[in-house]
Amino acid sequence: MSEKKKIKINIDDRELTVNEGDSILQVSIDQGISVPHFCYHPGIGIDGNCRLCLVEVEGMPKLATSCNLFAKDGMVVRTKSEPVEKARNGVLEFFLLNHPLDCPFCDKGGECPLQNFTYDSGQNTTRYAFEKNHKPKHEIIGDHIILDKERCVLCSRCVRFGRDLAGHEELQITARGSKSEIFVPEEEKLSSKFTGNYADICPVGALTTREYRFKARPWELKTVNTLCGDCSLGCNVQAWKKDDQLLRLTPRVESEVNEWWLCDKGRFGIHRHHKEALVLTALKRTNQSFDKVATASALQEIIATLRANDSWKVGIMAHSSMTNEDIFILKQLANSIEGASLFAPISSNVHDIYKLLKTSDQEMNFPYDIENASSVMIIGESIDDAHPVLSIRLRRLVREKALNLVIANDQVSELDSIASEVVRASKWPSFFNELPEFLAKTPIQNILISDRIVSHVTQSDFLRLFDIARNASMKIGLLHSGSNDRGILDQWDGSMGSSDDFYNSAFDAVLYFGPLTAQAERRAKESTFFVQGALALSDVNEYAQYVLPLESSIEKSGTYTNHFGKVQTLRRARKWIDKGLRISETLRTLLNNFDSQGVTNKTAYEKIAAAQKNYPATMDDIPESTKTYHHYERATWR
Amino acid sequence: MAIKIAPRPNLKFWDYLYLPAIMRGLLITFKHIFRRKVTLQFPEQRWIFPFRYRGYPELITAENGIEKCVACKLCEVVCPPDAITIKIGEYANVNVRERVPAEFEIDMGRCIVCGMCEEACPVDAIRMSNTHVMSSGSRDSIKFKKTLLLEDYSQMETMRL
Repeated sequence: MSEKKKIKINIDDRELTVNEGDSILQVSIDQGISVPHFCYHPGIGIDGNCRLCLVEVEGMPKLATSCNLFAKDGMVVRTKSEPVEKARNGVLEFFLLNHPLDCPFCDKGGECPLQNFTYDSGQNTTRYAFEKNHKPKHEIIGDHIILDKERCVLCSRCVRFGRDLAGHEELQITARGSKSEIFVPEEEKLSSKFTGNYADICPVGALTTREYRFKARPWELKTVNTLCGDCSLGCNVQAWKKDDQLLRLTPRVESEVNEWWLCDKGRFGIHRHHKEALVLTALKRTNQSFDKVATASALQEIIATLRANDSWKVGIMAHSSMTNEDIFILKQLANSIEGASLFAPISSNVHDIYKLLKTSDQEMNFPYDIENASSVMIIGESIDDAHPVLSIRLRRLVREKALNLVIANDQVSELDSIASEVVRASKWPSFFNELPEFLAKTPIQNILISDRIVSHVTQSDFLRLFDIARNASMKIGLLHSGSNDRGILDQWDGSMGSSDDFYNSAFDAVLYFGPLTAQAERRAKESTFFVQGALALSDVNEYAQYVLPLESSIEKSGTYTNHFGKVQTLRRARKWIDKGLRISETLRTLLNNFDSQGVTNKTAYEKIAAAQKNYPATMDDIPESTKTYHHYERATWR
Repeated sequence: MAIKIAPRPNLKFWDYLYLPAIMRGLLITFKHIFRRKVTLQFPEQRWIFPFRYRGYPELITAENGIEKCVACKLCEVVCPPDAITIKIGEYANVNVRERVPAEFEIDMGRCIVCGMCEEACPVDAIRMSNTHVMSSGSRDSIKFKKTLLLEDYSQMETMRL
């Protein structure tokens, strides 16, 4: 990669040093100079059809659209001069000719770019004397999206996002002139996994989500910056709440993780559970039914039982949705109980590979290694299903930088269509036998391996792969299935066991977090004392003597480590479980009672970070993006 | 501050008797018997308020029988004493109307009758009525619900809640 030349330009009498060839509009956005625009989006790219971002450039006879105007040395740009204001006003007047006056009941009202730009540079009357164009409204075009054709300004952001990044050409523009409109060609339904993003990128209220429809107005809402806990990518999100109701999740811009995007699975995951179906307080079995008890007293009883029987062998199984701090506290708890040991919900094979990868220099530095690579190989994962947002990045790279994508998988995935080579590997051991030969033929710079297939392969196969990787300076990344698997692996030391160890040994007492697998159910059945931590009431097992409430990731605060080793902060966005009833807090207070160490989330994190190389030293040091794209800037006129 | 001593009125003999003053007062009263009456026999008789009088706010029904309000919440946000509470609802037939208030409540105990809700309303759905009389025995009953707000107050006999 050649370094871009640094040049000096002047925008609105401000001297700026930028890379040669940068878009003037993007430079202005970065510098906080407001230039109205609809069709340009840093994640989708330049189209130049809305004509709203006009600026004046010295030496140019006419106004130019700043999105496809590229920086040259000595350029003098004016974004607020009189001809610019006049032209912008004219363009806005055209946008508003047929735009309905829906603002009072439009979901975008209050955070709408068209509204804001009109407030700044539009006029407050119309000269148009005729009846406005009427088009179909409130068309349900997908599981999550409602289309209002009247409000559309035809910026084609959604069309380009679907085509270039989501991999589905599911929205198109049809007809000409004032009759042109957005339509859905594919069986009149959106089918991609990223439909929620259409509502984000739409600069007007044409595409809105059904989940948020008529729920609130943006000025009533408060935001919490947290993480999506649906997969191990750890997308940065903003949770919007009204009073105590969680209404929507929108992405925060984080170039190292999710860029501008969020998948439907994560975005609408908050609507998946109903409060009635969740375990919100501890349950105690009496005969055949469960009684509600306070979490603290239940835990006290549990720990008293465990301590009273010190001859018991106790197995504590963590859950992959637990934060780093929860794991730390569980480790302490296991230490403080005689005969207890903590197990991770991760197989020993994955741990071995992780350790091999950690000690080698081949660990992937995401996203820089992928961004600058010419080839990526994905082994054993349909990225589209498991880590959807990562597939947007891959699609962009294939499109922009002609990335060579090689997929080896036993399942068909949507990414196969843009892959330069697809290997249908049905038997993983034989695939790994042939892999060195394949890598010798096809030069590969990056490999992403799923932890799903690791258990099918022997360690010697991986040692061989690492050898090849070292010689070819190849980078390897491990994709996990649990949201905080990497955090658990980082804290894994001699005192912890793997899930295989857990399944293969007998226990007198079992403390199990999460829904039971078939093997775990056998352990539970054989034990004399079984306690389960469960999220939903449907996860509760019949053998459980006590049930503890396990919070979902939206209910937690702490830190997660994503599968590329990036530590990120999680904040509590939903408060369904009362403060004193949350499992992590109760565990902590109990631990503090026994050991009087005074562990808080912060001190727990500091102790974890002290042992890790890539963890920031304290919780406050963890870098966090507060940037969102301009749609969610609420109107400032109030 | 200097103390200012108010001069005592210099009263004469007739002034001390008070009779002339009483007679003057009675004369004024007597004159009014022959003038036009300005008092009203409230509540049987009511005053016709000027058109722009600001009484209690009321909701307006459109010609098609649905309330005009689209639950945009602008009055709620502009209301200085936070008297208005709105819950958004969807209208059954989206082709007629997309959005109506599911609940609309004005706490008249809080309302200061300033008229800012009327000013903020983009669809002319809330107006200041001519009614200013209301009596109630409890604070809860003066929280006006949507059904009451949609009624024409001037047609109501009494506002005893």
